[in-house]
Amino acid sequence: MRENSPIEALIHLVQNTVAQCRVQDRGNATLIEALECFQQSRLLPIYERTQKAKKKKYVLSLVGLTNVGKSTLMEALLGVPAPKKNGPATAIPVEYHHGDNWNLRVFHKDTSSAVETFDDPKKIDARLRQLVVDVTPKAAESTKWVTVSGPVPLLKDGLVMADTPGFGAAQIGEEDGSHQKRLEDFIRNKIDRIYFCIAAGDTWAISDTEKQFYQMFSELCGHVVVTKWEGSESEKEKYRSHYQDIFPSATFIFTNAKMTEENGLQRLKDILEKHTTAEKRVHISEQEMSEAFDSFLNYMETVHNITSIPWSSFSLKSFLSSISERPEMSDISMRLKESNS
Amino acid sequence: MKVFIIGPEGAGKTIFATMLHDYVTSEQGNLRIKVRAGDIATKKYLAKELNVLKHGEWPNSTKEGKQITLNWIWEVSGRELSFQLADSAGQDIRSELSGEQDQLHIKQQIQDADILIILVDIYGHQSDAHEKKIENAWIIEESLKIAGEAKMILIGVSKADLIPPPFKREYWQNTEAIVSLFKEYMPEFNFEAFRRRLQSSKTSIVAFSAVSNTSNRSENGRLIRFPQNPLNPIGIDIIAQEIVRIVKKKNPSLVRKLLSIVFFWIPIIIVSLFILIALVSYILTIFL
Repeated sequence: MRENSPIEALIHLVQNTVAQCRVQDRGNATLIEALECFQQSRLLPIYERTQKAKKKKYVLSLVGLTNVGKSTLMEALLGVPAPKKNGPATAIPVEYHHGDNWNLRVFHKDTSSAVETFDDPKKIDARLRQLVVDVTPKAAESTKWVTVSGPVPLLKDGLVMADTPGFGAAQIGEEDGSHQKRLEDFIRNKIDRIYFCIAAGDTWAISDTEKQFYQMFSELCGHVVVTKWEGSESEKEKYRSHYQDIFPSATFIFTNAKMTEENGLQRLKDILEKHTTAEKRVHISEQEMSEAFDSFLNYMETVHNITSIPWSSFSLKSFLSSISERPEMSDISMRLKESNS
Repeated sequence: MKVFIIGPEGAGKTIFATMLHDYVTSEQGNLRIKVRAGDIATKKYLAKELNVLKHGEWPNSTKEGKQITLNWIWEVSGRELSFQLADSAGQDIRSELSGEQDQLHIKQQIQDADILIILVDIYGHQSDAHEKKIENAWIIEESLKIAGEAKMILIGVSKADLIPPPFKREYWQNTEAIVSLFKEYMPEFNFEAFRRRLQSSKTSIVAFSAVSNTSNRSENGRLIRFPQNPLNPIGIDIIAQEIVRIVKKKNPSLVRKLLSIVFFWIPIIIVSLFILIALVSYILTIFL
């Protein structure tokens, strides 16, 4: 028999409880609304993330407007020079994998591929620049994909870092908006987690394009990386309170080009470190689920004064059995049993 | 041989028929039967439904007023049996058994059937409205009543993989475990008459899952189960074997008939002859 994961069991519990409340004459409208909202805005995004977390090939990407400093950040994280695409860039995907030697593999449209080996990672930069930045439209047409592999500690457990072209700036030789569209498709289909980069600069301004772009992919995104940060500790707090509304529930990480914000980079590395294996990632989303559920029960108690919820007894049993062997979730099962009427 | 499947809408009648067919056709050698579709409509219908399942979707529910009669030829013990399996929309079964209408003559079909298969979806029953729960129980009670004591009845608890612990896989063929399941989750169901029936060899009850391999997919803000390949049916084999057993019992082979003549009828005739002779000679001794 197939075992449900806790998150799936919890969603079924909420769904079936809603269904059960609906058919009862005394169906509590407030409760139904709150349960549905909880499912839509909290549980389903966590479920989507869990599904992605289970994938063997988990692809991260730094996403941001052209020129916010993504390449610099990539370089700092991976230790490999990433080509800066200040000029017009093609939309050829570049992925970084772990490997024993520094290799670069180019996949062509006719399904052939070629491997180039490098003894010095610094040389990769120039070659990549040739392949994806200073490339003729005709050559770009035939190149489908580029992977770079090398002894990068961060990627050794199978994490993949994708270099995504920046958005916002017009691309030469492309119709208006078509680059944006392709980038969106690429992110939606190939990227599992986004680290959204915005440049602080002097003005701290965030453009509407950035806001829109973030909103489109907010479910893939848990962190906002503020690049080119020159402010002080207290200013960070100010920045956070100023922009938290635009990036709800995201955590801010501050870095700058000269990497004087060492702590910020280290923090980002630590966070990436937590996503290196499928187990770690699933564990994180289960933690998220526990927190979301806990806060839901608190919300019901405080806002609606509802302390007992008529859980569907059937699904409740399934959910409790799905978390029965996880001591870290014993609080939840305890609270659930208490709240069950 | 007529087999009639009954159960409320959503109990999984169509999927059950499809998976039963798939099972018996692929296992015919092991079951010592041969199975083939009796007509092109049956062949097409079953192939279509199976294809839908294999592509990760549930088949559409059977439309109201429509009844699909699947005609199979089962070759059991060297004899060809036409095997009719009628599958109708749950709504029709519901309304006809509650006496609202009588278009499809469901009651008549229950009476005519040689085997009645009643499917119960205990999982779905949980989120039904109170009124519907009573109707679900009524459908089972009524069909048992209409069928009468003499009919072969198979009760299948569908979607058993969704039933929460402690109802584990090893209890799927355990009558007592299923009975307590009914008691706990279907209190609307009148149990006493049912219990008596279970003691007779004419009624058996098993839990099964026609498609146990499913994955969740979020659609329109809900998490929905969808079938996944391989469909991995559990318990369908038990039901198929049970049907074969009943068929064999009802249609004994020639050898079996001969054996029953040799070992059953001949001794009876001999014994009764002896008794007759004894009686006649006793009467004769009295008179003479």
